[in-house]
This record gives sequence, C-alpha cells and structure tokens, in this order.
Amino acid sequence: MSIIKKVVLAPMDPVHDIGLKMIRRGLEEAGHITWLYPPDYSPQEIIRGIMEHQADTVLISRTLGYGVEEVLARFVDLLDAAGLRERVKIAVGGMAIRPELAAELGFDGGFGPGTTVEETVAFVEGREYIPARCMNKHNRYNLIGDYRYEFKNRPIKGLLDQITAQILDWSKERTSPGVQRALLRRQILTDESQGESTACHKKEYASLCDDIVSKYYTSGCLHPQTRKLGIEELAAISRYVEQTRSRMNPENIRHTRQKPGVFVQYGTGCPSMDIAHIKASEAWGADGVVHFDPSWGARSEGFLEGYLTHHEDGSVITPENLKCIKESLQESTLWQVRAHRGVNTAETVLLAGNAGADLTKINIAYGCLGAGTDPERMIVDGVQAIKFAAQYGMPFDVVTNEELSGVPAYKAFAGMLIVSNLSLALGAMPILQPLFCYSPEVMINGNMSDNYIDFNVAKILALRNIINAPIWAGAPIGFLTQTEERVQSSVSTGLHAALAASLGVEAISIASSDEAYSGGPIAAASRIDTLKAVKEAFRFLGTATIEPTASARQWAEHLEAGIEQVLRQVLEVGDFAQALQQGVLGSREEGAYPGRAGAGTVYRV
Amino acid sequence: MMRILGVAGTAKNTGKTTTTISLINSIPDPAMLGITSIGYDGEAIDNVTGLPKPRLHIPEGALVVTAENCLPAGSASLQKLEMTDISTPLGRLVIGRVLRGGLVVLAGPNSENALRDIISRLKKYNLKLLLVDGALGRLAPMSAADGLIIATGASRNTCPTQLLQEALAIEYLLSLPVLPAVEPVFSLPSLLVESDTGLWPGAGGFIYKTVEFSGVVDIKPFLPIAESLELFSPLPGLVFHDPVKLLLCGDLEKMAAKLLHYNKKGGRVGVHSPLPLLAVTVNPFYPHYNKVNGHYGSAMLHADNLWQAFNSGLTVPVVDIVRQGGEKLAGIINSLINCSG
Repeated sequence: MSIIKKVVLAPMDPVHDIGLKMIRRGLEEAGHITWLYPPDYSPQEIIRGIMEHQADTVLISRTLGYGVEEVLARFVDLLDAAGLRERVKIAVGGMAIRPELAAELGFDGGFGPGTTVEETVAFVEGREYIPARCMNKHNRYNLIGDYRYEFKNRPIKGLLDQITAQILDWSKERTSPGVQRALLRRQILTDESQGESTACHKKEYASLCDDIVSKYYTSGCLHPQTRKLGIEELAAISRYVEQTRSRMNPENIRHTRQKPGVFVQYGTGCPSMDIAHIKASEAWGADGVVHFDPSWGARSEGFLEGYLTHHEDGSVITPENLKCIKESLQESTLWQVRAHRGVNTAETVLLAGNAGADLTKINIAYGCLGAGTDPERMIVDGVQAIKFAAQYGMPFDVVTNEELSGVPAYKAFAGMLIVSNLSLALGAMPILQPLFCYSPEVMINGNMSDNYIDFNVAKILALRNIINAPIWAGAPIGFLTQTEERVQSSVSTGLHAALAASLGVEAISIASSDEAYSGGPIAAASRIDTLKAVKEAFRFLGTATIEPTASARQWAEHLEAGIEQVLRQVLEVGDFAQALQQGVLGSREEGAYPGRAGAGTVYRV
Repeated sequence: MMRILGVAGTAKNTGKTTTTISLINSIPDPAMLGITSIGYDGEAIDNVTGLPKPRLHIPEGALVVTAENCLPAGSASLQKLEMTDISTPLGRLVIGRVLRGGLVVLAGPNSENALRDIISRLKKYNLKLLLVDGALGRLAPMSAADGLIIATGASRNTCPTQLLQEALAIEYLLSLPVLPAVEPVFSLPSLLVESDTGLWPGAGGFIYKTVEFSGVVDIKPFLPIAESLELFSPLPGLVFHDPVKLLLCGDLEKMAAKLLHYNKKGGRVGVHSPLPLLAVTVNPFYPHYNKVNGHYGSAMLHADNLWQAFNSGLTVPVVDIVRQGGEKLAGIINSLINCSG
C-alpha cells in the first residue's frame, strides 16, 4: 500500500460525475481519503476546499465546449497563484480530453474516454501505469479448434466420397503449367536456401509463363502496372514497422465470448500502404488479415519477383512482397493469402506456406464459376494447391462467393462441400466459408424481406447438420447491406458480427465502412469504423443469443435437401469438370459462367 | 543577462502565437533566443474549433524547451542539450538547440515554479531573451517574466467598447508601481470565496500602515475588505504580491476601478514584484459558431476601427500584427534586451 493520499474530486460539470464516482470508489478501496464535491462548485470554491482539506491531488471532470477550456485554465491559474500548484497534483478527465489539451491547460494529467479507474489510481499514487499493454496482450486466435470433421449427414458423406474418388482418379495423371511452375518454384526456393544457382530453373519457369511475365525473367521487364520499390522506400517500411510495433497496444475486440476471430482484408497494391492498414487493423483488434492480389494475377500464367508496388488495387504476390508483409505482422496476427481462383493457385499456396502464412483460400468451384478459370485447369491446380496446404499444415477456407454472382446457396454449398471433402481426403484442413450477407438469391426470392437473420442462420444450421467443421462467415459479412454511408455500413457490419457471434462461428471477415462503395482507396479511418462497430456489437451481445424465426430452420432443411440433390446430379454426370461446365453447381441463367482462363492447358503426365 | 518576455492572451484565438512568431522573426541573432510555452503551441488545428492555427517555425540556432513527446511532431532538427526532471502530461521537458530550422510543437513548463526552474537552467546558455508563449487565458506562470505582451481581440469579446475597457483595466493593473510595505504590516492570504472576507479582522483597533495581499485576490471577498479599509484615515497602503494575482480577480474592471478610487482617496496602491506591460496586440478575428451546420467559421470585427480605439485609449504601443507587421515589437524587444534590468 502506498502513502495515503487526500484526493478532491470535483465535477465542474452540471451532469457528468459518474466517472468521478467510479474513481472515488477505486480510490477508497485503495485506502485513500476522498472528497467528492457537488457539480456546481466554482474554481475558487474548489481551491478553498483543497486548502481546508490539505488535499494533495485534485481530479476534475468536465465535458469540453467552447469557453470551457478557459474555465479549466482559470482553475489552474488560481491554484498556481494561490501557491498550491507545487504541492497539489491535478488532472482533468472527460470527453475530448487528451494529453495535449491537459498540457495546454496546465494540468499534470489528462484522461479521455476509455480511462480505467486503475489508471487514475496510479496517477494519484504517483506510480507508472503500464496496464494496457499487459491487459491487451493479443493472443493468437485458434481457428481450427478441435473440430474432427465428422459428417452427421451420412447420405451426403457417401455422395461426397464418391465424387472425391472421381476427382482424384481424374486428376492423378493430369498436370498443368500452373502445377509445373509451382513445382519449379519449390525447387528455386530450395536452391536459393542452399545458395545454389537458380538460373536454369528460372529459365524453365519463364517458359511456362505468359509473355508479360516471361519478359521479366528474360529481359527484366516488369508488368506495366507495377514498379520496384526503392531502397529508401523499403528502409522507410522497416522504420515504420519498427516504430509502430514499439507503441502497439492492440485492443481486445471480443468481450466475453471466445469467438469469432475477426479478419480484415488488405490489398491496396502497395506493400507499404498494406502494412499501414495492417498495423491500424492490428491496433484496433483484428485477429487476422487477408491478402488480396490483383485480378490479373489470377489470369496471367506465372508470378513476378521482387518488391513490387502495383498502380491499382490488389497487391502483387511475389516471394519478396510476401516476406515484407510477413515481417510487419504482430506475432499474434493470423495471415491469410488467397489462392482460390486462378491459374496460379498452386504456386500461391506454395509461396504462402513458404512465407509463413497461417491460412490460405482454395475453392475449385468458385474459381471456375465466379472467377473465370477453366474447370479442368482449376481442378488440376486446385488439387495440387490442397496438397501443398496439407504439407504446410495450413488450413484454408473454402469460399462460396459464386453466390454473389447469383448462384443459389445450396449449389454453392455443394461445391464447397465437394472441395472440403476432397481436402480432407488429401489430409488438409478446410474451413467452410458461407456468405453471410444479402446475396442476389435472397434478393430475388425475398428470404430477407423481413430480416437479415433467418437466412444467414439457416446457412449455418444446414452446414452444421451436415458436418462438424469450422465455419468462417464471409466475406465480408453484411456485404450488399452496406451503403456509401459510413455509419450505416458500420452498424450493419456490427449487427452481422453480433449474429455470427451468437451462432458461435469460428471467424468472420469484415469490410471497412467505405469498402463496398469506395470507388478507390480504402481509408484507414473507415477500417477502424467497422472494427469499432464489431467490438461494440460484441460488447452489446455478450453471451446472449439472437433468436431467429421459424423460417431459419425450414430454410436450413431446404438447403440440406438441395445440397444432397446437387451432389447426386454431379455424381450422375460422372465428371466434376463436366458438372461444372453443365451448370450443375451454378448455371449461366443463375449468373455462373465457367471460366476460360487456362483452357486447354491441362495435359496428361 | 537573460530577459524573460511573456506573451499572454485574454482568451483563445486572440493572436498569442502570431505575436510570438512576429517576435521570433524580430530577433536578429537566433542564437540569443530561447522559446518555450506554458501551454501547448504549434498544433495545426485548434483543439476545440477545428480551425487552422498559425504554426511555430523556429530558426536555426535558437533554444527551445518542450516536452519529449512533442519532439517527433515538428519538422525542425533538434539537438538535445538537457533532459530535465520536470514532467508534463506529454513527458519530461527537454532543452534543445535547433540545428535545422523548422516547425516545432511546444509544450513547456506549465506552472510558475516550473518556469522559474527552466529560467534558472537556461542561464548557462548565455541567452539574451526567453520568449514564453502563453496558453489560453492563463497568466499565473507569467509572474516569472520581466515583461508582458498581452494579445487580445474579438475572440475575447466582439464588443469593441467592452474589449477596450478590459484592456484599460489590464494596463492599469500591470502598471501599478512597486510599493515598499511600510511597517506595521497586516498580511492576508489568498482571498478566493466570499466567506474569505472573514479573514479580515475588521476596522476596530486597526494599527497597520500596510495591508499586504500575498496570494490571489478575488473581487468578491476583496470589495467588502476594501470598503472597510476606506474608513481609515490615513488610508493604509495596499501591496499586492504581483499584478498577476490581481489579473485573476474575476472582474478586472471592477478591481481597477476600486483600486483607482482607493488611490484617488489618498491610499497608496502597489505591488511587491512588478510585471510591466510592454505592448498590446489586437486581433479583429474571432471564430463564429454556425448553429445551422454546427461548424466554426472565421469572422472579423472592423480592423482599423478596433486598432484606432485601442491606440487612442492605451498608453502602451498597440499593434495589429497581421496588418501592421511586427516592427514596433522589434523595438520593444531591443529595449528589453538592452535594459540592464
């Protein structure tokens, strides 16, 4: 116990003295003597009281407004002129109070919103307060938990096993330039780590790339939308990371629940901007970050090398760029590199695993139907990607973004389950990622005409009725419910986060409040908007739950039945690639168009 | 010998920082100059109104005293000369030399004793002048200065007549002479609240030739005491510790009027430690709150009329820095530096 302090608490504010009452309780519990004044005391009366009580500390609370600062400054002046300033420690607290303002007003301390009672007790006792860093230690989020991937719906499991066997049989003697490049890249990385020449393998690698990428390896010519980062820029990134890390004090975004983990997406095109977004996200409590690459990165055969910045959105995947991002991350931050949709899927997973990524993203069905890749090519590259993910022990989500094109959830879920079961057969750890948003299907069918709850709940219930697997609601949650208005977007994100928490899913991906409609770069402030909204939603919900209407259960049953029906149809076609082409997992009328990127490139080994 | 020049404002946005900038620019050799603030200066945007603020560009060679957490906020390159043990909400105070001129955010000593401590530490650096920028309407630390420039203007009061009346009262209180306390002396502590009138024993059997006020003198307890004193003949002298204690009285015009009245009746009025008013800068700008959009905007009184009224009424130099420049202030600085003190 430190020396007993005599503390005057004065709310120079007509209404706001709750904070001081809480502090008073903390001080008295710590053994100090306190006097809490009424809210209408003048500065002179407070000073007279300080003299009478021989107080050694004064805590003032006051909400700021124009002219209020002068009142506070006058209080400090009077205290000083009365000869008390040297023996009385003074602090001011309230909304909009910051250390700069406290300094300007002449106080010894300034406490703004979020100040803890313990912090003010430490101030009174004259000891250093270091709690935030200890209390806010951000633990690494465990996404997989102890899921055992047991199928509850046995008929569906039976169908999936047959389809998996077909896919494995079909793909075992097939390969592609994407798979071959990935294997070469693995060799190049091994050569580099052993200090051996990579020239021969790089030449071979270049021969498997599109011209625009090949030129980099043959003549050093970069993709026209990229440029190399200079030495000074890289040094500036290192300095920024070092400085930011030294003052990093991440918030805890969750309240009393352990789930869900919160992921944000980055991909400004520029690694330094990405890192700034990552650091802001980490500070405001994000558990993980998701790397977005340029759309052309999915369609151009081959990857560039070097520290590259991109003129448009999407950050280029190169071994060096990934290394740069990885080095910037807090130890607790989970890092996902997306690989799900194109002709570089296998190599992306390899590079992600090699760079130390925690997660990746693979979905053959979405890659074909929503992202423009030829089904045969996507299957061959996808199978290899899943094998790499298994080798690196890197879980991945199986996203169903083809729903955003208009594909009904039951069809998208059938594709997701096919890829998930295939992944389990290959020893990998898939995470189910249903869309948790206002998708075109529900717009057309009116499933969300009353509320945004029931259909999202139905999706989770349906999946849980089928398999015991981790679920990551995505991506981003609340998509298409958000508008150009930041408050509305943040509220909508927060509410969807609360629903996801209520359902106990493992993770959510959230957008910034300007992401869906930004039409340009995403602002860090907008990113913080939604992180704070989610935190507030978690605080609001606690361990309470949200009760859906009876529709949720009915729709869940329909979804489950629909999934089974689609799987039967895939099996009837007898070939997964053909099933994708024929629209079994999403037809052209529904908005799914089997892609052409990489068409005709698959060949037998 | 280092002289201390304080720049105090009657309110926020009255032009303290503009005056300080003008003073800095008037110094021929920055190496003879030290600069600090009793508040927080140099921020780009006002803490309350959100309006842009003038920023402090400190020239190469000058010394600055600011809090350690403010150092990264500026663009000037600083050499740390001394880390003090004086703490502020923004860290401990640092004395530094400007190696490359640039913007500096200043948050210096915020009490009279802390300022005196800094003044003492700066003596070894052979400065000629220490500029002390004020904070809001704060005055108490300025008791440690050798002279004061007051910045006032429409931000304090948009009525030019009332503004001038207040300035006249300030000028009067800052011009009170040094008065020796003739024995026997009755000493009063700080007078803060009305009930402090009770600290005065009353007129009966009063034998003292001087009444000394050692602390703050609030107008409410002071007036009844002064009226009681007026019953004596001869009137005892009134000696206040320093003018700043009077400037914090709560009603400058009433205080000045009462002391003037007392003086006219034959009572001597003075201070123990003087703080001469060297100039008044007058600023026609004020932030205007727009109730419709909830934002502050810029507004102005008639600049020429305001200056004319002040210049005619006050005896000290009056400057509208933005319109007239800082030449008059340069002369004031030279006089202060060359004065042996």
